Amino acid sequence: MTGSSSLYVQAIILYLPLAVFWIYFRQLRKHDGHVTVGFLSETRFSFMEYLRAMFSWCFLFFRIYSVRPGLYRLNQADDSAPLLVTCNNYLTVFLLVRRVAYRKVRLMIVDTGGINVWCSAGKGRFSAEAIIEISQQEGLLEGKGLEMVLPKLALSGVRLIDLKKAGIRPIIGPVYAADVPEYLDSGDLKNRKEDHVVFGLRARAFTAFPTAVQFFYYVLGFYVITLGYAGISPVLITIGLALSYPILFPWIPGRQFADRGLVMGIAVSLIILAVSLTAGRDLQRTVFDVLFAPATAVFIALSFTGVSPISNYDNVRKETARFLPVVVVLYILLIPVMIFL
Amino acid sequence: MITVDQKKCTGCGQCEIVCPHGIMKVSDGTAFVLDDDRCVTCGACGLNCPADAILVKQQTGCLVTIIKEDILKMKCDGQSCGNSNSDGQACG
Repeated sequence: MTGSSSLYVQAIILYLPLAVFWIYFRQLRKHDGHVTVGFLSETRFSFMEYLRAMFSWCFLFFRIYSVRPGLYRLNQADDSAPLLVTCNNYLTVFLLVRRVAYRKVRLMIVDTGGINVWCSAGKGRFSAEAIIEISQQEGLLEGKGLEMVLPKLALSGVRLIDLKKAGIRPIIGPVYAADVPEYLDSGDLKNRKEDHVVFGLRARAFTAFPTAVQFFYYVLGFYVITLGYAGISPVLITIGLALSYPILFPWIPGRQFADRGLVMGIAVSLIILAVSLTAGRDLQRTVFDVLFAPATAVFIALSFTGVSPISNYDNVRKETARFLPVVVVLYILLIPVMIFL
Repeated sequence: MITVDQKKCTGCGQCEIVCPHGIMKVSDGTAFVLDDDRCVTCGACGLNCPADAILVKQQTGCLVTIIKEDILKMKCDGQSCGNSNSDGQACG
């Protein structure tokens, strides 16, 4: 077997299990593209539902599952039970139901195309119109004084005054599902003025693994295209950076996203250089890795702007204009390194 | 960028309640932005201002959006954060 074909075999071995998983879980989609969710009627989670939730988390940035929109009654909740509104992203619904599993609540799931609350609200899919439509379909507007608790992050898409005009009394609920049980148990459903987005270690760690999965796919593609020229080190560098950047984010020196990425990339390059010189590693591969690390780190950092809830369009635009050319130039420099050195 | 029309603002405090980052404040009967840099221009305040006093262009601070909408000039179809591909890759 030639060297290049053996590398292809290696790449296929890496891709194959993921491809099988992907196809298998796609097959589970039923009922107009929505997955069948047992826990919304039985409030009991099956092994497959946990597995699907884990898979949804691993592929967080790919909408793989959505829940059928509509009104659900947990634990045979009647019309006096609190009504919570959420998106139809599978993982969001799963995490919310896990939190409220033993309570009598009604759950209104809005068709957001499987997108999370904030993103779908920002792009107009999680809207007052969508909520009113489901309310009408489910006959909720026939009675008087319909109250519903909205996730606070839906308010960039939901115009409260439109709900009020339709006879609905909207209540601004917590930002996070974790706060919902305490909110419900308080007995008095009030607007959560004090709830704000927190981008703490837990939230960042939650995004680290999906970021690594996303970039693993990219770098594997690169690996296959370049016939594994640079060996396994670009794969390891990419996964290492994708895992560590979100977690270390506030502690990396820099003001914004890309400059922190550059700092991290340069630090990794210096470590590679030091290790390579000490170990007497091949010059060609060392140069490749030293250029590859900062380019990939900046790319991951820029990509992370979409994951974080703290990025601002104007700042990201400036950063993209300043740093994306750096990424492109560094990646272009890898070509002569591969060919000539 | 977010601007508050001080003449229209009634100081009702709705913007303060809906802001997910807690950067809108009402003082002396009028709303103001505490920290422009922390505003992610999600648009919740502008959308829910009963006096129509807040002007904010709703934008997504995301690389994918900027590449698609600004560089490639592709129109976002609202399928996700600036992403309209069939894979439905979403950011944020």
